[in-house]
Amino acid sequence: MKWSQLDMDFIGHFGIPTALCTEDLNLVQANDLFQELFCLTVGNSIASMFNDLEVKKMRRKLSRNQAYKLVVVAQNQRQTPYEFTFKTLDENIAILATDATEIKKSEDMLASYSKMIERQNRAIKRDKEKLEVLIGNILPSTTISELRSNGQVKPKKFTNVGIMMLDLVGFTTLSAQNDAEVLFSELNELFTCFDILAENHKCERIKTIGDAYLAVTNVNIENSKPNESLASLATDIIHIIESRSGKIDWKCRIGLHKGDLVAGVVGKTKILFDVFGDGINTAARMEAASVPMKINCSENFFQTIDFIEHFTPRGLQQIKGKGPAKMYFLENSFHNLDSQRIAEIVQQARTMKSIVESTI
Amino acid sequence: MSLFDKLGGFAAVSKVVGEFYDELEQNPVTAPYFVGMNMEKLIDHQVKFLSQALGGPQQYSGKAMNAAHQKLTITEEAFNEVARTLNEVLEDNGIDPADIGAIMDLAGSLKDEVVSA
Repeated sequence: MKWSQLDMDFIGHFGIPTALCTEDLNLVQANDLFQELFCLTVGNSIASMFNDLEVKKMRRKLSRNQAYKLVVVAQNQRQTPYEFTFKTLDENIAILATDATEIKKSEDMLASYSKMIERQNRAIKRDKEKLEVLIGNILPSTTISELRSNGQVKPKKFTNVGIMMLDLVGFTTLSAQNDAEVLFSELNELFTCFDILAENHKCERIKTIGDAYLAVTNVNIENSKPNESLASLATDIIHIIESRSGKIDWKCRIGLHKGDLVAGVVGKTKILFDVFGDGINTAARMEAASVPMKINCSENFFQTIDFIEHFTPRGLQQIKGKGPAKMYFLENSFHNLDSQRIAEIVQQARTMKSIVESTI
Repeated sequence: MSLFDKLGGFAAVSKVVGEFYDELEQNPVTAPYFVGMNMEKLIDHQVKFLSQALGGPQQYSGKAMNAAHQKLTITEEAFNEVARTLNEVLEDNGIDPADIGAIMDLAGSLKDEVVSA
């Protein structure tokens, strides 16, 4: 079947470009509007003119007596988008083109808004991930999970855990003698070295208070050799302080103890995971009773270790508020950190970005 | 990168879903199920559902699969026809065969919840 010229002109009169092509996609009829808009004349091949034409898909749809649709941009000044509808008409294929400006506008707008929202979603996701990292460095993962599911964290009691308390000797004097920036920078570097060592030995730094450093074992990080780890951490710290070069001549006192503590989250706005209890107090007493660059251990700590050859008994020493107690020095030779490893750790601490720098 | 992002996000998913329902409405096996239905709402739901299932934003708040399909008494033949159509539309849109496989696996996993006749 073919349309009469009158039919074609009639449809064209309403601004509808219309054409008819053979199964081989050669144009056999087209109204003036169609020819003008798409620069096609009878005898031209539709397939060679429309690059986006999916011939296989079109044939499949037409064979099912379905319409095949395609958006084609007209060759006019406005480059108007037209939606072509291909439909079988007896032995030929009828093509009806309708102005798709509004549809295209809506689709473009949808795509644009979708992209905008997706970009925002990705930014929110990135920020959320940064926040998770930041929170993960403030609170232990078990505490975060508990906070998420219960909205609160119940304090937990831990018995017979390893505790290390460290204090830098003469910090007040050093503060008065040195430039604040230098002092703070060196203190920061030193504590970062301790953090690296603590992580290496599966120990956990709980907090620093001024020039004091508190680490524990088996509170949030499981450790099958807690005594050995804590002793290694303490001796490595001594080696680091002895070996590193800096403007300030640092010295420390270390106390090791095994005892009980209670751990929990304190504060509502400035949240802190903290530990309290007799174990902490005793570890602090051990540190206070130590001497510069020595590791002083409590009887409780000594009784649970299996490397007694590295200890020197100190006999009974006075503990403030507790009376006399047996104490032992852990020899600094217990764990040796070679000079290359020390240099690596110091370098790592110097180049490491703070968690705040890398997340904000 | 989620499959949602890989496909081209919300705009690409809505294009696929639009073509998918266009096909289903013209298919004699599936068309009867859509008589009297608010297709715009259905397409909107499906875009959200598929976007979410492909790892996009969590925004689907419609009914659960079985609750949404139970009253329609969908036959296995109709379900298979829907799956075949989805596969075809994804291919037509130039989606990677491995990704089509993942989407078809997802669709297949819903069969027991959808078929009730």
